[in-house]
Amino acid sequence: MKRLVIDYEKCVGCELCAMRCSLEKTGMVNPSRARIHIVRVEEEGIMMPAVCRHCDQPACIPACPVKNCITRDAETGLVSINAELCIGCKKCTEACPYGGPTGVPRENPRPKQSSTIKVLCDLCRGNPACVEFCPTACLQYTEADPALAEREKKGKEELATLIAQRK
Amino acid sequence: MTEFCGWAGAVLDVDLTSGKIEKYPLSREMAIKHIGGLGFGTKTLYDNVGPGVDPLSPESVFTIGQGPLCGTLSPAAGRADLVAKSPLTGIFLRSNLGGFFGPELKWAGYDLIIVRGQSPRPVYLWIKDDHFELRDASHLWGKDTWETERILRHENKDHDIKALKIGPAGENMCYSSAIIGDLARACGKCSLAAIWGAKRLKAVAVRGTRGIRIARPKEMVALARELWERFKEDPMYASHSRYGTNTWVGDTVMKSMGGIKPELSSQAFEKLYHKNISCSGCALHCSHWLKVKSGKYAGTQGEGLEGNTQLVGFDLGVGAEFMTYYNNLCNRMGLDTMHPGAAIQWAMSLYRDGIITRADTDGLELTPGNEEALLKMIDMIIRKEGLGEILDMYPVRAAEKLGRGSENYISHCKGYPSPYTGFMSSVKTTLAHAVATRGHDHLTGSPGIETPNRQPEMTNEILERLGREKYGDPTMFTDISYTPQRKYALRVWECENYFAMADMTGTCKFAAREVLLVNGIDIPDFARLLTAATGIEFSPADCTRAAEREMLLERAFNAREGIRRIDDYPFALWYLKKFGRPHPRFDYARLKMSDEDYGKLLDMYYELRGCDLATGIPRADKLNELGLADVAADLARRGILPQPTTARA
Repeated sequence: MKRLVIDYEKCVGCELCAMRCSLEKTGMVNPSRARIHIVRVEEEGIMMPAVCRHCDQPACIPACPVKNCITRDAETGLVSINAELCIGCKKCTEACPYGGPTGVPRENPRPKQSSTIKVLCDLCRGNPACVEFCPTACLQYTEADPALAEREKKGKEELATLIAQRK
Repeated sequence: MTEFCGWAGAVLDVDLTSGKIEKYPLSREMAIKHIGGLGFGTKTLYDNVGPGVDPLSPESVFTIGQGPLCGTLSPAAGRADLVAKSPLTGIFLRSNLGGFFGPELKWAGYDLIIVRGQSPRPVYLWIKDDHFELRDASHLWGKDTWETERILRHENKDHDIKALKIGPAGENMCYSSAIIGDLARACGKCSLAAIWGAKRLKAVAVRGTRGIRIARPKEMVALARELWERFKEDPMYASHSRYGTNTWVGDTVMKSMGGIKPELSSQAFEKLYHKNISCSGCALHCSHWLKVKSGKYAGTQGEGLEGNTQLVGFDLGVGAEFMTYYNNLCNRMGLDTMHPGAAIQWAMSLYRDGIITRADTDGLELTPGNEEALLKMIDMIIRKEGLGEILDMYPVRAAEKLGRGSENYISHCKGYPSPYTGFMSSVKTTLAHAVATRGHDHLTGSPGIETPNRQPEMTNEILERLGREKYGDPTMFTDISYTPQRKYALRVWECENYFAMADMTGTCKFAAREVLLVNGIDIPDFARLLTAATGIEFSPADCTRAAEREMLLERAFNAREGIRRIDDYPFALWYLKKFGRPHPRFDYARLKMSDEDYGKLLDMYYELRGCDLATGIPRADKLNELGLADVAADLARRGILPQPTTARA
C-alpha cells in the first residue's frame, strides 16, 4: 500500500510542498494553513518537512480529550481529526513528535465552538499534491522501500528531537 | 478583503519621524502600469525624492516591494525589491533579494512599504497580518543580524518571522553596508543599509498568515508544472541546479581574468557543499549550505556562496575556506561583500606601488593572501577607523580624500565601482554595464550568454539554433566582435526588459531566459503567469511596454539627478571626455573599440530605449507613448527635457 515516504536529507527548504498543499486544501497559497510545513534551524542549515506520518500507534489519539475525535482507519492506516468534534485544545500538537497537526480557522463556527481547529494531512485522497512539486523526491508517495526506510527513520528521530526542543 | 488576486492589495506608508503608519489600498492604475516590486518602488521614488534630497536625510524615502507573482507558486518567485536614491552614487538605487521575506510580506497582505522620515530612536517595523507598528529597537541596536533575528523570534514567540535587518555596518551608515534578509540574503549594492542606519531603522519583521488568492489556480499549477519541466531540459539546468553561480559567474569570469584559481574554483567550493538549498518557491536549489571541516576556519558554516563574492577572493589572494568565513562575517555584520572587496583591492594596489605605506594602514601589510590583515581592515571599515574610513567611501570620495595620485587607481561607472577601466569580455556586456541605471552593474541588463569564456554546455550549435529560431540570425549569440551592430544593442534592450519584468513580478533572474538560455522564463511566460495569478489579461506586448516604462522612468530619475550621455560610457572613454585627456595609467591602444564606434552602438541603444541621442535623456514622445506624460511634464518644467534631435553633441 502506498504511503507518503520522506527522504528527509533531500529537503532543500523550498516550501513548494506547503504552498501547493495550502492551495489544494484552502484555495489560497498560504503555507501557514498547509498540512505540511518546513521546520528550520537556519543557523545550522537544517530544514525538514513536518507532516502527519499516519503512525501505526498515533500519539495524538490517547492525548485527545474528545472521544472518537481522532481516529485511525484500520484498512487505510489514515489518521484523521473530526472537525465537528475538535475543540481546538492543541493536545494533539503537544503529543505529536513530528509536527503533524496544523491549526486552521474553523469554517462557519457555531456558538460555543472553538474558532480554530486542528487538521491533518489526508494524502489528498490518494494523489498528494505536494509530491508532484517536490524538486528532489524528498517527498514520495510510494510502496514501502527498504532503502528509504532506514533514512526516513533517522530523519524522523532528528525531527522529533528538534520539535521536542521547541515545545 | 481585497479585490485583487496575485497582488495583496495594500500599501503601508511609514513616517518614522512622527511614528505614524498609514495603510491604504493599492490602486488599480498603479498595479497595471507599474506591476509591482521594483515598479512600485521606482514610481514612488520619482514622485517623492527630487534632486537636492540628501539620501541620508529625513527627506529621503525608500520602498520595499514584492510583485504579483511573489509567493503564488509561480516559478522561482520569492524575491523582493528595495528602491531609493543611493548615498554612494546620488542616483537611482535598486536592490533585490531572495530567500523568504518577499512571500511572507505577500502573505501578510502588503505589496509595498514606503518609509520616510527619521526616527528619534532605534526602532523596528513589526507587521503581522493586519497589525503593524513601530517598536523600540534599543535592545537590538549594536547587535549583529543573526542575533537580531534570534531575539525577534524569541520575543515574539514565533520561529517563522522573516526579517530584513541591518548590522553594525548599517548602523554606522557605512557605504559598504548591506540589509540582510534571513541569514544570508543581501541588499548590498549602492548602500541602502546606510539609509536605514540614518533613519535608525534596525529591522522590518513580518509574519503573514493571510495567504494570497490566485485568480486561475488550475492554470497557475499547470503553468508551474510546465515551466519546471521545461527548465529541466535546458542545457544549463544541470550546472545551475548543482553549482549555482559558482560556475556561471565565478569560474566564467575568472577565465576572463587570467584563469581559474583552483583554490577559488567551483570545485574548491564543491568540497564545502553540505547540501543544495533553495529560496521560497524555487525548485532550482542553486544555493548551498557550506561547511568548512578542516584548516584554520574549521567549524565555519553558512549559506553561500554567490559568484560575485567568490570573485572577491581573486585579487585578495584567498581561497574558498576564507571566503566562506568572510561571507558569514559580512552577513552577520550587515556588510556588502563586493564593495569592501573592491576597496581593499584598491588599497592593495596603492600599497604595492608605495602610495600608501604601513604608516597609513596601522601597521598592516596589505598584501594578497594576508588574511589577518584583511579581517582587520574589514573591522576598520565597519568602524570607519583610520584607513577604513577612506576605504568605506570607495571609489570617488575615497580617492578625493586620500589624494596622492590614488585617483588614478579607481575606475567606476556613475560612481559605482567597476573593476574594468577599458572594455569587458564582450561588447554587449560592456554596453549593458555602462548604461545600467544604478551604476556599473550586471543585473540591470547584461546578457549572460555571449562571452568568449562561456560554459561548455553553451555549444555553438545550441547558440546558432537559438539565434535562428528567435531572431532568424544564427550569429545572434555567436558573433562577439567589437563592432557597432544594432543586434548588440537589441540584446541589451531585451535583457533589460525581461530583467525588469523579473524585478517587477518578484521572479528570480536565475530562472529567466538569460540564465537558462534556451528554456528560461521569457516575456510571453511572464504574460501567462501574470494572467493566471491576477486574472487580468496580460499580453507579451503589455509586459514589454511595462518593462520599457520602468526602464525609462529609471532613466528619467537619473536625468533629473544630472546623469547624461557621457555617464553611459566605459570608464576609460568617460575619463577622456570628462577631463579632456587620456587616463594616465591606461593604454588606449588596447581599447577593443574606438570612441566613435562605441558612440554608434550607444546611439542604437538610445534609439531602442527612446532616449535623446545627444544627452541620453528620455524623449518626450516616448515618455508620452508609455503613459508617462506627467514625467515628461516634470522634466520639461525643470528645463531638462531636450528639444528633439538626431545629432550627437
